[in-house]
Amino acid sequence: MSKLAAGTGKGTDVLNSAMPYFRAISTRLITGVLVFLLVTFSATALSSLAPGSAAQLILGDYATPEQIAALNAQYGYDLPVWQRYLSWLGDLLRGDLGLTLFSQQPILGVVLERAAVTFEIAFLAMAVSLIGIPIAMYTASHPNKLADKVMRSISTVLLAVPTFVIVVLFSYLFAMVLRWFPATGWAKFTENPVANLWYVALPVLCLSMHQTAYLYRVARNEFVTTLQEDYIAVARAKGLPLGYILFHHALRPAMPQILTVMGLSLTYMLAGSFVVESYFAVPGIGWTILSAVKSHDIPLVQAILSLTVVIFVIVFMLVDLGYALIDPRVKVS
Amino acid sequence: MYSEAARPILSCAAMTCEMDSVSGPLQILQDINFTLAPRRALGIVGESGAGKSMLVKAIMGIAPKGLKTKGRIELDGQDLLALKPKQRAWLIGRKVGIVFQNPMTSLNPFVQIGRQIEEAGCIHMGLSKADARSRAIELLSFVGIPDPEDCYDYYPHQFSGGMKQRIMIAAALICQPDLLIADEATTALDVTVQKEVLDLLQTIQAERQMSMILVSHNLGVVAGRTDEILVLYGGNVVEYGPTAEVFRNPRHRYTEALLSAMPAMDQPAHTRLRTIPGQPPNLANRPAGCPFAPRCPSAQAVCHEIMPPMSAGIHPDHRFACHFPLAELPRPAPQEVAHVQ
Repeated sequence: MSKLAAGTGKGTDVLNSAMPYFRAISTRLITGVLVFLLVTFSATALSSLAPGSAAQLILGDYATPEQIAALNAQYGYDLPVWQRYLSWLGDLLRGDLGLTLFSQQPILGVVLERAAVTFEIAFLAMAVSLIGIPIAMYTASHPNKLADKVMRSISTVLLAVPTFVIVVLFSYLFAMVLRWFPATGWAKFTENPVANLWYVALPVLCLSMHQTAYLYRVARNEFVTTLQEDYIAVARAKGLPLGYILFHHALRPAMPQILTVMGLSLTYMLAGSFVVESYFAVPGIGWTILSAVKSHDIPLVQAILSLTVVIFVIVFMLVDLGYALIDPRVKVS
Repeated sequence: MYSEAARPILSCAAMTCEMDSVSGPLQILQDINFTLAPRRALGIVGESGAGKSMLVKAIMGIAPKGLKTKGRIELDGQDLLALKPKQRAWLIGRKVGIVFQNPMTSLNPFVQIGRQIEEAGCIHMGLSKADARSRAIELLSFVGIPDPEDCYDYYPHQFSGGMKQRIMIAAALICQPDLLIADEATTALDVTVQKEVLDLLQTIQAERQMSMILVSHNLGVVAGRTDEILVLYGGNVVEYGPTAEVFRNPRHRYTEALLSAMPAMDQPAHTRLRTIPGQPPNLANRPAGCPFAPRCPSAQAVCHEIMPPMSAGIHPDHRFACHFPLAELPRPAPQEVAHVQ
C-alpha cells in the first residue's frame, strides 16, 4: 500500500520536475524568435546601407538602368526595408527563399546542404576537443608536475598560433610529408562515408586544435579551483581514491564552466570555420558565405546569417538547460 | 597517558610540523605529545592560529602540500607517517570519521546527500548499493533527520546548516570508525543548534563507544564533554591533563587567561570580560623561550630565553609548560569536580 503510494508519488514527481523544463524551453524559444527577427531584419536592412542601391552593388559599375530595373523587379530591392523584410519572412515560411544570384540554385537547399557539412566538421572537432577534459583532470590533480607544465606550455603555444598558420603547417606535415590525409577535396558522407571521414580528418584536426587548447585551459583552471573546495578535503579525509574524487566530486562542479566554453566553441566553429573550409576547399557554410560575400550574393548571405542566428539561439538554450541539469541549485525558469 | 591496558587509539609523539614560506620555514607545530585511549574524548583548544586545525589535518594526512610532519603518529598501533599516502588515506578513511568546521561548504552541492553519506562505506567496506542505502538511511534517522527515506535523494542546499552538520556526522559514521574528530564542528552554527549538535556528538560517542576529539576555540564546548584537554598556544602544547583538573586548577598562565576570558553564569550583568593583550606569536619569527612570554603578565627574563619543559602537577596526568606556574590548589573532594557551562 505504502509502496504503491510512493510509486505514484514518484510518477507525479517526475512530471512536476519536468514541467519547469517545458516552461524554460518555451520562454527561451520566444526570446530566441525575437532575437531571430531582430537579426534577420538587420540583415535585410544591411543591403540598404550599401552605396547606391543593392541592385547596383550586385550588378557592378557597368550595369545598365534596364538591368538594374529587372533585378529590382525580381528581388524587390527598390521597395522599403520593412516591405522587403516582410516578403522575405513570407518566403521563409513558405520554405522557398528563391534562387542564388549566380548559380541559380534554390537558396534553402544550398544553405542546408552546406550547413550539414559544417555541422559534421564542427561536431567532430568538438568531439576531438573533449580530450582536453581528462587531460585537464589529470594535470589539475597533479599541479606543477611535469605533465602539467608540458600541457600548459603546449596549450599556450596552440592558443597563440592562429588557425591559418596551423592549417598550413598541418597540411604540409600530414598531406605533403606524411601523406596520411588528402590536402583538399570532398566526398559526401551519404555517398562514401569512409572517404568522407578521410577528407574531413585534416579540417577537423585543424579546427579542433584551438578548441582543445582552450577547453583544456578552462577545464584545468576549473578543476584546480574545485579541488580546493572544502568538500574535496572531506572526500580526501574519507580516504576516497583520487579517481573517484575526480569523477564523482570534481567533474560535475566544473561542468557548468566547461559547458559554457563548449557552447561558445561550437558557435565559433559553426560560424567561423571559413579559414579551414576555404583552405581545404570544403563545401561548408564558411566557404559559402565567403564566396557569397565576394560575389555580392545578398540573398544567400542573408539566408546564411539567419541560419547562424538560429544555431546560436539553439546552442545557448541547450547550454542554459545544461546548467539546470548539472547544478541542482539552478532553478529552471 | 591513562595507564589502561587497552592500546591507545591515537597517539602523537614528538610530532612537529614545518612549512616553508617566503619568510623562511614556519614552525607550525612543535613537539606535540598526547595519547587518546579507546572510548575517551579529548578536547583540543586554543585561539585562532594556535595550530588546532593543522594538528588535525596533519594527523589525517590532508594538510596543504608542503607541510612536513615529523615524529610519530600512531593510529590503532600503526605508524601513520611510515605508511604510503594511499595506504594512510585508506586506513584513516576506514578508522576515523571527521566532521569539519563549515557544514555549508563541506557537502558537495552537486551530489545527493545519501550518496555522500554512503560512499566511504561502499569504498572501504565494500557495501552493496542496497546495504549502503539502508545503512545511510538508518544513520540519517540516527542523527535526527526527519523523513530519512526522502532526504536520501535530496541535495545539500535543501537543508539548513544544523541539518547539514548532522548529515556530515552521519557521513563520518558510515564506516563505524573508532575515532570521531570534530574540527570546530559547531563554530559556524547558531548557539542553540550548536548545543544540539554537540549533545548529538556526545550521545554518539557514548552509544557507539568511540573515541572522540573535539577541536574548539571555545572552552565551554569542551568543558563537560571531554575527558582530557590539550591547550595549544602558538603551535606548542602548553597544558595537557584531565579536563576537570585543568578547569579547576589551571597551572599555565595562558590557560588561566583563557578561562577567565570566558563569561561565567555567576558573574553580575555587564561584567567586563578579561582579554589577553597582544597578538599570538608570528610563526616565522617565534620567540626563543615560552611562546606566551610576550603576552604573559608574570613573564621573567628566563621565560623569554628558555622554552619551559613539560612538568607534572600533583595529579599525575596533569602536565604544563611554564617556568612560573600558578599555585596548585588542594585536591578536591570527588564530588566537587568542576563542571563548567
